[in-house]
Amino acid sequence: MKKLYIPFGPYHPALEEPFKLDLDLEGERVKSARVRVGYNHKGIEYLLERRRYHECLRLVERVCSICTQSHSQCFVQGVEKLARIDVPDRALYIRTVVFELNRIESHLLLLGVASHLAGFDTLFMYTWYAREHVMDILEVLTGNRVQYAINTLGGVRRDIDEKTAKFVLEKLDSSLKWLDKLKKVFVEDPTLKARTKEIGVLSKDDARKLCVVGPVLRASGVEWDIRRVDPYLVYDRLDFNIIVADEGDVFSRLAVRLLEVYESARIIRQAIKDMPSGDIRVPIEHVAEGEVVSRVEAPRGELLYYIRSNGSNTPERVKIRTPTIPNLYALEYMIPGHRLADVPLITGSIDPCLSCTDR
Amino acid sequence: MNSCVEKILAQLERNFPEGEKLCVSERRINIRIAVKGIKNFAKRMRDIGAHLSTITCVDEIDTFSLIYHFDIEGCLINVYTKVDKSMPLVDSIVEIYPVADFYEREVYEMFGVIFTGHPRLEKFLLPDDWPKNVFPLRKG
Repeated sequence: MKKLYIPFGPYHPALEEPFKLDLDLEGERVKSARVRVGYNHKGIEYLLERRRYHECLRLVERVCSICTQSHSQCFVQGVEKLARIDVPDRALYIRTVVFELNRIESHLLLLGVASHLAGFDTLFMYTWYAREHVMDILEVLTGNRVQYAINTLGGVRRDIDEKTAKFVLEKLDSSLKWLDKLKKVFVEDPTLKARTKEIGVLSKDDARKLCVVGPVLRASGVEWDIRRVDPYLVYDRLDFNIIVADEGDVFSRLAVRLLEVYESARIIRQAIKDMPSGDIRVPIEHVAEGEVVSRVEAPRGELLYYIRSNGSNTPERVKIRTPTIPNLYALEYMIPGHRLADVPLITGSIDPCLSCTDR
Repeated sequence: MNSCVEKILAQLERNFPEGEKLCVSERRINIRIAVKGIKNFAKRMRDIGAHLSTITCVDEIDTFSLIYHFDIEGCLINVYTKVDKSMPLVDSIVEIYPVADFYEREVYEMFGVIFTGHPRLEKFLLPDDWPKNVFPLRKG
């Protein structure tokens, strides 16, 4: 049979952000896939070498708006380590609350997008309705819906008072109550199951070999979460489960994210309950010479920052490795053998964030 | 220091005698090795089940520092190598860690380090018509 070449992207109705898949087809089956990124390259690593630390913080938040808190946290904890300061406990708890709200918001966004890609638009709108409650919480907590900018070097910008804490918990409950209804659809609906089961399978061995991260890795049966293995903030003081599934298909990747939303909600409740009183920030005097590798578990997986300082007020080098890079690479292994119609859904299931990837 | 780091250090001493330990802190181990040993090193890292997080390149004016970040059970092992700036050649580790494909291509286009044995050393983030021999993250 004659091979057919299809450029899938960079601008395509099924893609939320620009990237390109070069697909070789035989009939309806994909024979090989190659990923090409860079359509949104912003040169942020270059810019960071020319900005002062507090300006860098505002810039790294804009690497990506859907995991803004992860970038901000990863950068800020590295710089704080170089400056050798201890952030007050209360600030760490507030950061944890915002971090997990960010994770819920990001996971619900993907669950909505995935149901849209599966052709289930009602579910898409209902999921985003549940997400809207979380966006309200974030707006009240930080003043912003998207770029929270809650972190400053040495602490946080805003405190949580009792009234706000009550509002957060109430709104979170109403969001989860709404999600409870949808959970049944996501896990049990036969149409959605038929559309997402056994496609885009990544076995446990392949997942390890390809070094994928985050929910994609956990859906393939590997229990690896930076919050547990390399704890930051106050995760070592909180009780939460790591969600793992064994099948490694699109369905289990969505299920892992759905169940992680409930774990995040547990973390937020504990963090608000245990929050100690005290200062919310300390001044940062001087960033000493040295280097640090900082990691956090972003909604999409392991996010890594390498920061080198030469003792001046600008960093010498900042390297950002976002979780979508290894996950995108795994697409070249996941897609071949599937039908062209499955490509958008498999691509969506890794929750690609191209704004992150392109930096 | 936690027991996990001690266990991994013992494992490293046994499997990688050539690595010079630079500094060890909680869940971080820094090792320096010669650039020609990187492929062999990566092979043995894979055999003990390490995860490759990324490859960082830093321009040190007269040389390049390549840092391979490996993870074993939450402990980060940062492997430092020095690359000559006038002849920036390094063995590719794509056949050992397939994902290094993307990481090496990024270092290649940003710094001009050439990874020998890489199956497709093409542009990753920069446009295809980017001028030759212009490397945005090089200094000096």
